[in-house]
Amino acid sequence: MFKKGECYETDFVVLVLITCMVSMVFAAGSKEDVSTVTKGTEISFWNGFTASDGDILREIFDRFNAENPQDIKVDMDIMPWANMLEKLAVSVSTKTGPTLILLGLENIPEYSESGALLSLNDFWEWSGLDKDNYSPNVLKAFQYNNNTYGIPMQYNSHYLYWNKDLFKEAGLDPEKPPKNFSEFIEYAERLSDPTKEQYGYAFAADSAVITNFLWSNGGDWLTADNTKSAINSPEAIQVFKMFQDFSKNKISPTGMTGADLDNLFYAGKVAMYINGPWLIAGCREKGIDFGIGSIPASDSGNKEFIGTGVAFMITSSATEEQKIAAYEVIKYWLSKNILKEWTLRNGFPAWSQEVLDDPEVQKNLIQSELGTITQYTRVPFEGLPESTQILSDYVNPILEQLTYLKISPSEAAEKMEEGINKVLKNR
Amino acid sequence: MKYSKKRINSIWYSPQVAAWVFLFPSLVSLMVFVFIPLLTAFLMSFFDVNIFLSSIKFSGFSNLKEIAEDSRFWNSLKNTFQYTFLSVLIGTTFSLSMALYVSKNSMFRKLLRFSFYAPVVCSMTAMGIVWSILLDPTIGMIAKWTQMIGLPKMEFLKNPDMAMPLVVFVSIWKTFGSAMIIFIAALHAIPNVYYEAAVIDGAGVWIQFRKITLPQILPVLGFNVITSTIAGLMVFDQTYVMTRGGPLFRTETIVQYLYSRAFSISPFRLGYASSIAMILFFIIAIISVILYRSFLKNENRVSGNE
Amino acid sequence: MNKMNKYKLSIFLSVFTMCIVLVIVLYPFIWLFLSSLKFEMDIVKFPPETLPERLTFSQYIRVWQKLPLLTMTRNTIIFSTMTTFTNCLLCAMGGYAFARIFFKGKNIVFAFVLISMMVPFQVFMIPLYIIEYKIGILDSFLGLLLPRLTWPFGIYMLRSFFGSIPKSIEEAARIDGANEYVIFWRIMFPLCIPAVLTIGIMTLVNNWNDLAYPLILTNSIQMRTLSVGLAMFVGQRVIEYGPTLAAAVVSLIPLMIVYVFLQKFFVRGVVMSGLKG
Repeated sequence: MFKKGECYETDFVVLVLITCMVSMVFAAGSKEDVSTVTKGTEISFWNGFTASDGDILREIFDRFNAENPQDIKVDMDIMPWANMLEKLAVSVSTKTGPTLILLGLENIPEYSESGALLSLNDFWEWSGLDKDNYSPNVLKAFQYNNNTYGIPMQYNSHYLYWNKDLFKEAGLDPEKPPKNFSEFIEYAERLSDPTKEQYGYAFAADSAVITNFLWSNGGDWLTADNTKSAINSPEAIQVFKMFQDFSKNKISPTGMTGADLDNLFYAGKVAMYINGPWLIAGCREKGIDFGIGSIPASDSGNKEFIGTGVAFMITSSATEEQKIAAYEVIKYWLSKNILKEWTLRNGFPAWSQEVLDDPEVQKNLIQSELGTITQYTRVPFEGLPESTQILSDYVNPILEQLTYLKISPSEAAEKMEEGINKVLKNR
Repeated sequence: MKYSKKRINSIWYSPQVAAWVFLFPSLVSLMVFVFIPLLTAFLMSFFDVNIFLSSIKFSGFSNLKEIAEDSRFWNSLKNTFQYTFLSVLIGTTFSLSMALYVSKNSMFRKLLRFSFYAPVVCSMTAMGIVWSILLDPTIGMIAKWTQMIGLPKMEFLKNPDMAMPLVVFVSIWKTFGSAMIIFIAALHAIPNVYYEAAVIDGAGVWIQFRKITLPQILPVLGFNVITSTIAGLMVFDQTYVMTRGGPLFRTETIVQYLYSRAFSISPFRLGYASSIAMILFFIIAIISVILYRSFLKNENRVSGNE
Repeated sequence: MNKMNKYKLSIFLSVFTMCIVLVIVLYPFIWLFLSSLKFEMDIVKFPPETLPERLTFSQYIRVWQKLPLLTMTRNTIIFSTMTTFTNCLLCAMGGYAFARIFFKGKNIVFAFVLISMMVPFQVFMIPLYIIEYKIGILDSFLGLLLPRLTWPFGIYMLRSFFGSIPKSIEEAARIDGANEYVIFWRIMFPLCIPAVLTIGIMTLVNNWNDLAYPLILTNSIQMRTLSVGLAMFVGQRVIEYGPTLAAAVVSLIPLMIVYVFLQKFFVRGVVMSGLKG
């Protein structure tokens, strides 16, 4: 039944199939060779700006690629931040990393310690830009150990948003947000209505928002020299109690993430909300009549708010040529027109004086308001590589327990102190 | 000449050589791209190394000692076991029941067969987002329906006690289809004559199931149990997308914990994460062997094919 | 209750139960599809509605504008179909070898295969990156294909299926003088087509939807797959739900079409041509 001839036939078929597949591999997919460097240099640029702000970024960089006189080509690869972090470290260590990256400034200490970043100390001199034009608060926030590893790309604080319709319904003046802690608590209580699932003030158990209140109240996470915890203080416990009461009295929902709360605000179920500037575009799109302003100060009038931002950084995978090309890119970004565009289109406050002075920006009520807040901001855990560890392992989980009513405010402060000191001891 | 050709051919065509020919490409790919990385990860567990590979220090067993005292590790272990136990038990039972029902050929059952596989086909990321919105305590459809039928407001994924069961539910929703079609393929391989004979002998449905169906599908049942157990112990996507390990770390699994140690939390300790991975590996291996032995024992007794 | 009524009742109950299961299974898809046609502010609003108040295609338009859909689809198709081909072939060959041939070291080799199934991707992705870097296949289709040439799960499953075929068929072929390759290709493989197809579609689906793996091994937008496209609307603080849902639907449809098409072959059943009874 089975002749020898037929056996060869089967082998032949298999062989042909395999050859076809292999040739498909080579024929179909090999990406275009990017080796032809014409006039200018090509640099790779990774960042995590997915969603709508990434579109604006792309537009700006497409323009740069088309217009820049040195013919520099920026190859921008946008991917979710988590995936970028997965790739970044190993690609830098194998020298296959990108030239230019955007990264949150809280990563600067850790990444520079690991040798992943090039020092940018010579940038200002090289660029010839007037350093005094840029907010000193902001520039300082991007330093580490008196060295420059990151140049600011954007900077923001947190702001108070409120739903004007809900204010009107509760009999409050929609143009008068709460000015201090006492008013804040009073308004929050008046604006809450559990029967309608309406929340007076909603927050996520994240240290960022609480920092604003902590600092205004005179407390802090660490001592000034970053060596020990300072959190176990009456000022901190007061703030913790305020937030726990919000959860307890159903003024805020429990266990929500920032994204969940954004949705609730857009759905009109939250009267007051503290968040970064990205909410502005969403509110407009969803048709919310919203107000935006400064977070309430403490009852004694003290205000100090959180600052955070994203930095341009150059990795150690970059050649000298690529580094200079990246410098050109950064210089382009810091120009008045681009910063102004980013502020007006994306909603992030300006930190360059010439942009703040621009009549279009001044006409924009929101932006001029936000611009005044920047001077009260600083970065938490500044210059501390262990910051993410402290936040992830101790501060945020304990805050979560606080909002789930599992521990008391004083216990929370104690546990945080213990945890923070444990981490800092190993320095 | 035909004679010597036959001699060479006889080596090529011998079963031994043929087996290796069949396995060769698979083994090479697995060896280079899975096994060697695995060994590297295993080695890294004895070192103090971060994801930048910038400072590599030998640390021996100190990672393991630290893990033994790491309460978050033990918590993730407990969660992983809980997840695995629930998803394998409920998932296998459910997919087998569904398979039994839809394996017969009627329009309705064909429709069911088709629909039940649909969740498998879509991405976990996408459906994770969909379910998270549906399960939102305030603006989710499910919250709306439960309140419509008079239940009190529930926190769903925000409730520390409800979170894991809900994640298990979504996970089963997503994956039961693939176990089901494997069962169906196995059920279809059982000759109808057996059932006909049983009916003639007056055996009821349950007896038919126990004495004919179950023994015939035992290898496949074992297969599904073992593979879903392994998948359960390694779970990452479901919890990462839906709860990020919360609330209060109640849904944090081992893989999620080691991932966060390596990639999310400074100092990005790849060595420590690798140690956790190695412990997980041994747990999976031991449990797999136990399961394999108990199913194989029965398999040999029944089919006598090996 | 007489026997006829009991029978009718049990049919009714089982159909009823199945319908409930069907609703639970399908509702998220219905919601997904309908919501992709809603305006952004209607997707997350209170009180929530399943049906759109007003329809719009703007979400799909946005997906089309923002993503290089054609490139991504092409990449996804190349990557998943190639791995599907190789998986089907290699898993069948491997499963057959383990199931039907007795050779030295069989158990150890099988243990190796299973072990590769027991470690999550997150654990070995960094060493894998380094290995691909050293070999020089980073950022290429070859680099995506070679590590996924085979699938231990598939080898294991097909081993089970090949193992359940009665020896008598094989013996008959051997008596006729056929060698291993012929037996495999002409007899055994055709008998397990439904199982092989099952592995095929599982591979297709898994690789089609995989995000972490292609993302870490490729460096340019030219090589990106559809799964990444989905993630592109999920920002760190801003999530564009409409386009995310639309992108999910777009990614889903080709797979559903393939599935519908293959449905017929799936459960054709194994035909035992008159060797038993």
